[in-house]
Amino acid sequence: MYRYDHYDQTIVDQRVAQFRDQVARRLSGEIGEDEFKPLRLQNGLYMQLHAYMLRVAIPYGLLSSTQLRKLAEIARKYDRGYGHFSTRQNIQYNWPRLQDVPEILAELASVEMHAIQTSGNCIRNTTSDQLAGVARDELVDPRVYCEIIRQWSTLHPEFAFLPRKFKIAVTGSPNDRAAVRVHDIGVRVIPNPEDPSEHGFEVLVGGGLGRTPRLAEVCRAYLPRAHLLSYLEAILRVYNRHGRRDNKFKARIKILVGALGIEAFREQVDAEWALIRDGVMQLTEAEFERVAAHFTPPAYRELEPRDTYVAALKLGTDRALGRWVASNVLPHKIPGYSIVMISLKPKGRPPGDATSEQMELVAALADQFGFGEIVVAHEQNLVLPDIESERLPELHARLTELELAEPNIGKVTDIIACPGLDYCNLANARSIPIATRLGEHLDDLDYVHDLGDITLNISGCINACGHHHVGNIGILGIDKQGEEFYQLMLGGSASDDASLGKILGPAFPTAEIIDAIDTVLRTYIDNREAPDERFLDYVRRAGFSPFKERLYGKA
Amino acid sequence: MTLWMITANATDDGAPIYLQTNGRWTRRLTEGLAITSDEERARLLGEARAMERVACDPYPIEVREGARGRFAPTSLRERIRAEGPTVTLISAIELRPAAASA
Amino acid sequence: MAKLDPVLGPGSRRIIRLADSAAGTTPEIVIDHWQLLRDDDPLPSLDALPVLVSLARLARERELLAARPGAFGAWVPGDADPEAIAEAIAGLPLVAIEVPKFTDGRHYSLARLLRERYGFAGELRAFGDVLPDQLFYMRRCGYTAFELKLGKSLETGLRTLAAFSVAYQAGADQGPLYRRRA
Repeated sequence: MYRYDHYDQTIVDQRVAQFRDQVARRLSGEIGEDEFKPLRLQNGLYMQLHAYMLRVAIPYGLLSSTQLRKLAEIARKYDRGYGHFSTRQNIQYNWPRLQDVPEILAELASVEMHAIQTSGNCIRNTTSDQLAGVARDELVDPRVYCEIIRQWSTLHPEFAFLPRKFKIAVTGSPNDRAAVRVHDIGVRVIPNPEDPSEHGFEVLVGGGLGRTPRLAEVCRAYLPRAHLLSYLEAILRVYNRHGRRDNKFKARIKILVGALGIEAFREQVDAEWALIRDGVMQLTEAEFERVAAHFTPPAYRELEPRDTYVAALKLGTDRALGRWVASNVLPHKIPGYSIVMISLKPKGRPPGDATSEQMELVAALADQFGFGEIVVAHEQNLVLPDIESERLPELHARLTELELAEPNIGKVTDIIACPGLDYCNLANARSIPIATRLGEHLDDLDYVHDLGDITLNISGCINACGHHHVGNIGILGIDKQGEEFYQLMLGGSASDDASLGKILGPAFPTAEIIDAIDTVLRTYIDNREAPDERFLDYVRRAGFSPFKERLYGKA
Repeated sequence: MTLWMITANATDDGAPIYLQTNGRWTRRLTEGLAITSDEERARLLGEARAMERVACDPYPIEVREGARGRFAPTSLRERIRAEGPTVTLISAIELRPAAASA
Repeated sequence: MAKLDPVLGPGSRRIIRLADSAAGTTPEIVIDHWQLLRDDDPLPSLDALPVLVSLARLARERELLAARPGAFGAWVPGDADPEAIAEAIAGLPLVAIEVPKFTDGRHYSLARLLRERYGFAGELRAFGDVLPDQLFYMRRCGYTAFELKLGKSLETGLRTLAAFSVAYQAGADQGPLYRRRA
C-alpha cells in the first residue's frame, strides 16, 4: 500500500496545525460558527443530533494493521469505544469533543491518515473496489490511479467551494463493486482497446442517488492514462463554473449533466480539456512507476490450488464453518489463497459498527494470517484480502471470538444502513432498529442462505446515504405526521447491471415493515423458477404484481 | 397552549443543551425554560445566537407539559435528541463468542 | 447589480499584498488607497487617487480616466466569464474580484484562468466576503492581494497564508508535485 514520503507527511502534519489554530480561534470567539463550519467540515467534523461526528478518510478503503489499531485506540481514548464504517469506505466516530479533534488528527497523522475533505463542498474520498488487487475478475488494479486521484484532489485550491460535494469512484473490474455508475465521476480502468498492454480509462459522469437518483453516462470512452488528471480537472472546472448554486437540492453535477445533456456537457469538458491536456498536468511514467511501486504484490507463497478443498469445507460436517465459507469466502487470483469477508452485521447489532476490541482482533488476524492489510467494503464490512485457504478453519474459529463470523455476506441480513434518526440531523426516521429487528427476525441461517444473494439497503431520509435506490430491496424511512413510516422499493442494483429500484406501494408503519419484508422474501421463495434464480432476476422477470398482491391484496 | 424551548448543541462536545434563564444552559431538557409567547421566543433565540462560544446553531422546539409537570418534546426527533440513540451502543454490549457449531 | 462591499470605499484601508522579495513573494500588510466606484459614484475630487471601476464604465470613460494623474483599474464580479473580460483587463495594473459569499467558489476558477490562461500580469485582488482561512487557496489560484472582510484579522491572514509548504497539484504558483518530487 502507499507509504508517505516526507512531502505527504508534511501535508498532513501541517493540516493538523492549521486545524488546531482554527479550533483555538473558534473556542476563543475570534471566529463564529458560520465561518468555522466549512473549515471543520473540510476536516470531516459534522454536528449531529447528540454530538459532533468525525469522519476519517480511508483512501479507497485500504488500511494497514497499524492504522486499524490506531483507529481502535482513538475510539477508546477519545470516543465511546467503537467506530462506524460508512458506505464510502470511511470510518466515523460519533462522540468526539471539539477540543480533542486536533489531537485525534495528530494521532491519525502519525500513522499516515487524516480526515481531509471527508465533508464539505469539495472532492471527497476516492473510493474503489474492495477486492482491488486480489479479485480473479480484475483487469487492472485500480489502486495506483486511486492514489494519484487522491493526491490531486487533496487541498486542491480551485475546488474547495464547489456547488456541492463531489464523489469519485474507480473500478478495475468488469464486475463493478465500486458503484461507479452512481457517482459524480466514475472511472473504469481498462486496457486500451487498440493496445491492451496500455491502460486507460472509461470516464462516466453525472451519477448519484439522493432526491434525484441518476445513473452516470459515458463522458469519454477511452482516456489514455497520462491524461487522467487533466481530464478530471476539466470536468471539475466546468462544474465549478456552471453548476447550479441557487438551490442546494439541484446543485450536484448530475443536475448539470441532465440539464445540458451528455453531448453538450462533453463538449464543454473537451473544450476546457483541449487547453490543458498538453501542459504540466500530464502524468509522467516516472510518477506511475513511483506510485505503482507501493502496490506490488506481497510475498505470496507458491501454493497448490485449493479450490476443491474450499468447496469441500462448504459441505463439511461443521455447519457453522460450512455456511461461513459459502458466504464469506471469495476466490483469490493467486492459487491457494482466499479472500475473507468479515461481516459487521451480526444479528441484532447496529450494522457496520465495530468495537475497539473487534478492530484490534481484526488487525491482529491480518498480521497473523495475511500480510497486514485490511480493506473496508462499501457494504460496511471488512475484508482480509490474502488468506491461505488451508488456514480458513483456524481463522474462522478466531473470528467467532468476537461476533465477527456471521455467515451473511451478500445475504439479506448483510444490511446496509445509514445511521438514521438515532444519530443524524438530516434523518426523518430511524434505520438501525429496522436493521436489528430484521436480523433478529431472520435468525434461521439456512433460510437466509436459501434466499441467496439479496442486497437490502435502508436510508433514514431522502439523502439516501444507505443507497436504498440501488438495493435489491430498498427501504426509505419517512415522516408521516410525526410517525415513522417505511417505503419499500424493489429491483435496484449497484453493479454493472445498475438499476434504480421502484416503490411498491403505500408505506408501512414501524409495526408492519418487518412483516412486509418477510412477505417479499416469501413471495420470492414461493415463486422462483429454481433455487438459483436470484432474487433480483426474479423481480425483473416477474415484475411487481406478485409482491403487490401479497402485500396489498391487489396487483 | 404551545410551549417552546430554545435548544442548541454545545460547542465543546456537541451535546444537546436547553436554554434556561440568565443565559444559562442545561443538558437536561426537563430543566429548560418553557416559553409561552412568540415575543419571548424571538428574544431568547436572539440572545442564544449571540452565545456561539458555548452554543452552536440554536433553534426553537415545541414542548408540552407531561406527567408530574415535566416537559417533553413533541417531536420524535427531539425526543431522541434529548434521550440519546434508541439503540444500545455496540461497545456497551458484551460480545459473545459463537456457540459450538450448529 | 450586486451591492458593493463598502470596505473598498473612500479612504484608505489595510490589505495584504504579496510583494516581490528575494524569497519569491512575501505577504505583507500595507496601507492601500484604491477607491472602488459604483457606476454612479463620482470620481474622487483628489485626482491622484487610484480608482477601480466596472468594465462597462471603463469602456465608456477610458479617456477621462486616462487623463487623470491617478491610476485606474477594474473590479469584476466573482462569477465573471474570464473569456469575456480577458481582453478588457489586459494591461491594467489592478483587477479586483468580488467574492459575494465565500461559499461561492467560482472566483477561484476565474482568478486562475485570468492568471494562467490569459496571462494577466497585474495585481489580482480579492475583496468582499474574504476570510483569513481562504487566503492560502486564493494565493495558489493567482491572487496577489487580499482585502479582508470588515472585522477580520489581517495578522491571522498572514499566518493562514503560510499554512502549507507543500502542495500536490498544479496551481498558478507551481506545477504538480509529481514533476518536482525529489
